[in-house]
Amino acid sequence: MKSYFIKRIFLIFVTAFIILSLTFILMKLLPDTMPSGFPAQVQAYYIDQVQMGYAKDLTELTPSLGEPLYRYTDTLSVTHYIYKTPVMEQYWRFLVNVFTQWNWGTSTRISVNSSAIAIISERLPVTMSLNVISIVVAVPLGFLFGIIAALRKNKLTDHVISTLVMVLISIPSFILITLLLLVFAYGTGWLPSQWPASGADAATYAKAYIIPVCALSFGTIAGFTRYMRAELCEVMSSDFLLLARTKGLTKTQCVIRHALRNSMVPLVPMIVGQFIGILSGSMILENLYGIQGIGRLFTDSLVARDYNVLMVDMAIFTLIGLGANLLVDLSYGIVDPRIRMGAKK
Amino acid sequence: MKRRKLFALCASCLIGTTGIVLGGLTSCGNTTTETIDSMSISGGNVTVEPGATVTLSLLDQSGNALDATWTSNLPSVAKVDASTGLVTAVSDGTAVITAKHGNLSTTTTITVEEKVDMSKAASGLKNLKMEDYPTNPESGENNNDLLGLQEKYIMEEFLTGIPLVADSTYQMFNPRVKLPVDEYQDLMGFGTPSYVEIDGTLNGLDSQEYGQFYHIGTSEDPQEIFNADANNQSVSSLSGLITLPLWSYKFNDNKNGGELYSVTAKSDVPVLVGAEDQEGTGNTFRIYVRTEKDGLYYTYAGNRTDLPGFTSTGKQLNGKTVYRRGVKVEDYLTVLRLALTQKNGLYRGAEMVGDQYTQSLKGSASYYEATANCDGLYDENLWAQVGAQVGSDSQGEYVEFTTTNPFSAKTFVDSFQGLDYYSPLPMDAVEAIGIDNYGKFSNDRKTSPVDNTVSIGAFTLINWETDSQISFARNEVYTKLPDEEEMYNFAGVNYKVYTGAKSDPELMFKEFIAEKLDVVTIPATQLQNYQSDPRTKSIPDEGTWKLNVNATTKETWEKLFGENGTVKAHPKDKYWEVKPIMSNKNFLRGLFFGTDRTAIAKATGYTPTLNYFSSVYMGYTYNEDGTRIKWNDTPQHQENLKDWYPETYGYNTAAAQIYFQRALEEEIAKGNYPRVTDTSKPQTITLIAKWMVQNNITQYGSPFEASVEAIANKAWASYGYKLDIVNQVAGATNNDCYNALKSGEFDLGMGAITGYALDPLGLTQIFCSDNRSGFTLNWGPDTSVVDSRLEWNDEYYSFDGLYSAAYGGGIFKDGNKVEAVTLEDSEPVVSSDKMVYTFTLRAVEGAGIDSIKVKALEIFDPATNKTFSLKDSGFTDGLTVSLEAEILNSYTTADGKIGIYIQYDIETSDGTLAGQYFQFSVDGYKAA
Repeated sequence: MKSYFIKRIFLIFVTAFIILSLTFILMKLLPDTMPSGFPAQVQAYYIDQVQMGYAKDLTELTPSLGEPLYRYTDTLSVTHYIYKTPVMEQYWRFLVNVFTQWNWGTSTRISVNSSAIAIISERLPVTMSLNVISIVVAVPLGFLFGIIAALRKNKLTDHVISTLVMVLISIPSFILITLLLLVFAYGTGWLPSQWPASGADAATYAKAYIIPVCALSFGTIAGFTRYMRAELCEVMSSDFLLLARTKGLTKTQCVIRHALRNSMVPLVPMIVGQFIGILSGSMILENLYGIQGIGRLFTDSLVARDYNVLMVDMAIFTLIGLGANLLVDLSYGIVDPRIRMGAKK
Repeated sequence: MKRRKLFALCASCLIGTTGIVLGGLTSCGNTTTETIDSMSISGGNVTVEPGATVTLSLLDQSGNALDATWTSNLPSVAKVDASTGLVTAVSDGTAVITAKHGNLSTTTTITVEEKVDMSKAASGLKNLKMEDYPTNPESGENNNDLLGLQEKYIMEEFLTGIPLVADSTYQMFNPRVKLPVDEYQDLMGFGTPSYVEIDGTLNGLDSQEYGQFYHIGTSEDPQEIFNADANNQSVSSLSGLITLPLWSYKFNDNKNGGELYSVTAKSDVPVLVGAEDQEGTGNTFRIYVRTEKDGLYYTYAGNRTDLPGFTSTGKQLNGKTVYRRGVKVEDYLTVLRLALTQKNGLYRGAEMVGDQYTQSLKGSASYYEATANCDGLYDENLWAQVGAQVGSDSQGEYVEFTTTNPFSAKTFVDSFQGLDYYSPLPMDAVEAIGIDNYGKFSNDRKTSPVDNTVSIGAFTLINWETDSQISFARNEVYTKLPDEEEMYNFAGVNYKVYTGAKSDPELMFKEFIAEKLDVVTIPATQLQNYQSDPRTKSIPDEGTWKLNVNATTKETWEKLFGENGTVKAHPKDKYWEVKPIMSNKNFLRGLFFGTDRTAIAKATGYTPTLNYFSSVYMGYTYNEDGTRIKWNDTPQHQENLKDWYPETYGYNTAAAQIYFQRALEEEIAKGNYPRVTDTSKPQTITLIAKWMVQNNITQYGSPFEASVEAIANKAWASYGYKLDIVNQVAGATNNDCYNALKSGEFDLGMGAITGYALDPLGLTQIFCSDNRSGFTLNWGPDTSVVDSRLEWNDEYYSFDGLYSAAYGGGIFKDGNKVEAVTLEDSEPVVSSDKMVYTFTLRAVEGAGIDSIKVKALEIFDPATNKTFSLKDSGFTDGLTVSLEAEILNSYTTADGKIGIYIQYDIETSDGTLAGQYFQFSVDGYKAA
């Protein structure tokens, strides 16, 4: 078991490395944005690119680097040619910086001069707290509603819950947040309409969590409810449960001690999967609600071509995703003792 | 039996005769025994002058002549004799001549163009703009007439594209905001934020910590506030709150406009150094400035304790202790020094030495080149050569600028006012903070711009919460000037950041309605509901939106954008597919009159317009009360609009249909599009319209497409053609659309003219087809061709020529500006201690030049601007002038290059063009 665990951790790093390398290279291969404005402004843009290391300023034509991006003549009548630094050279420098100095670079657009790591570490807590709270709220509620629906199968309660589930599964989280904002924030004014600034009191902060958490968790709750209901129904109709009942266990004891355990086997791994889903859903949500988190940072840095911040953000999402996968595999063993990953046959 | 035979014989005779008769009757219709597969007209598709004649003949596919009946669709342009096919050209235009032979017909075109009488083309010294227009109404009318003439031409040639809407908007203010004026005023607007007063509470705020501040919404947090190092537009409005310019605008006494007043400068105009006539032009300006002695201080409310010279005021601003420090005169040069020192890598540094930078200072470019590696934040020794120095005399302490371009004292103020590059900043404070950190978050984000920026003026930066809010508080350190009495009477400005506003255009509006903002622009979707709200104020347009057109022919496109294109080269496989119909003027007119601008205005919330210049652009005449008349209100502009159906905003379906029809007829006649025989299977002409973002297609593209296609399809149905306009987003960013327009990769493309220029005669440079401005976006006509429509003082100009004559002036030959004087150099004569170059200045022939007067010959070190020798007398005048420049072996420079500067005047019978010069480098002394 232990060697399996270590092997998986090692694989995580290898996979992460491959993913990040691919991201880096593919991003750098994207066509460049052309600057616009007066010739002086265009020149300033390219000089800036040279300073950031994305381009080289050479005084002679170097065909091996391709076509020059820009050329200008300085006051000493020397012609400068600006070439794009080859992608592999940038990649190598990136690797050297990361592995020798743990230097992921500074942001060039999002927040000039701040190191990418500092930006991420400032924003990580909010996103994480939001997502963790969402999962913590969503999972028990999802299980609860699923159990109720299964136990009251084909009765009114079941129908109501199933209909709600169908509706909430279909609506994407960002539409839900807009709806909630319109009704509860702008309509009635009970809840804050944007993430509050620092001066607000604790009560406002607490209220500020309500809309995003709801928007993020509703989809998850609906998903879990549906699966739990299906699984539990199936288990409830199995033979061994009938035997347990005839042997004298009460319905509650049956459900809790036996049925639940069995129906959770396919569901526990889903928890982590839903966590990833919530993480990606929060990208758009953070934008709409004004939360300073890492999800929005991803889309912002992609559009702004802030490569350094994007790489760190990508690294975090990759590690979370891969780590989550590992947790999923390990959790199988906890829920179902018959499955032990890496166990000898 | 016999009777039957007889009957049979008669019947067969009858049938036979009938057959022969019938056969004979039908065969009468055939005049020849050949069939006609195709016809063509020889002698057509030519351009002739009025009065000329052209003989056309109709031929079949083998070249045999056919009889024909001839008609012309526009006899006022060209008449044709119905039987002989003799065409007589009448007046300018294009006529389609139809030849009909039986049921078949074909067409050709005759274009009539009057040749320009080149004997009337302008030559000599021309300088048409009159600079004294502020005081002389006749000069104002003169300048307006010049601009009117240019505008008429560019409209007729579609160099302005197809105008759509002007971006006038509506803003809503919370009732607690008291504004100094009820209506938007020129130059000053409502005077926000300086002139507002707050009386009340915003009840929707989460916290009242900054409750009495003026709350503005913004969609982006730029994370920095140092304008000299920013590549972001939104920095300047933030930076403007904590910097002070030399001069700025305030409301005039009547509160119906703005006037300049001195902020850090002590007088309204600088002293023109070394000039007897203070009303003339010069290059050196002395400005006396305020310092600590006049009560001018910096403020700081951050957490750093290592800033030199700052002492605590003992007061607090929203919980932050305020420090202050006195301003010294050398502080006025700090931002300039930091930006021009290349090593510091400030973003706007390279921009400030660029050749387009009108305010460039002498020696700035060479200083920039020389400081690629520099210890410290700037090089004191090298700075001595730059035209920006400080000093003091009996009148006080001053800053002295020497510019590369000459200005009058008043133009200097116009150019330099409002710039925050000349806001004072203490150099040692920047050293302590670090040039990389100044105005930004530090690398580890432990210090914010509040800690890393020094403020000056009425506001101090006190709070920066990333993507949430940025707060500026009114400090008690700043003493208001008498001119500022009505300003700064509120607690502060709070910028609330709504990043979601980028995707949700109604977000900030909803926040305003929920009482969290003091001011908001009403989005198009809410305009109907709130336009008449008492809180609403209308804002006149700042920019006009239009569709640029690519009216090039294939040949012209290849010249400009082909493999050896002069504007931008494209490889053969990336050539744009030029649509012949786009270069047809009638088609462009059809597009113009077929655009339903009112529908676009409704979708965008803007107003429909036919104007190219927005309401911001001023003409050159003044009202009785001294305010300047907007260009769009001048009679010259109104006259230009008359023929374009201004009452319906240019929308006239009948006219559009006629133009579309004529355009297609002409293009088919020219052979650019095939004749369609089966109109139930129509051919499609597809045009690509490029837009900046998807929303533009919804608001602009779809209404445009709908209105234009409907009319064109109606006009073309009988010809078997359809129009299909394909709306596309050009790319991921606005720049992609702009770059497509600059590279000719479009048929129609979205563009705008926004911004602020008080001198529209200077703006018309962007219509010059040689792309000299770098901003040409409409392509097609060649503006270097002399045109009889551009007639001034009985002389003809090309558009390029008229632009130059009206802005800057110059020497003209045959309607275009020419380089009046050419320079030749010679191989140097080398001797033991010196090299002698001979330079010959030659006046261009036919340009009306009387003589060249050389004023000065300077030999200098191009790297440091140090003068080796200066000769300013003893030159001969003439049409050809030779000078000798002696480069001694003692003139040594870092890279062996020697700079030569020759200044001269050009004398013509019309006057003198002064201040011309050649400046270049030659090799320094090398022994033979």
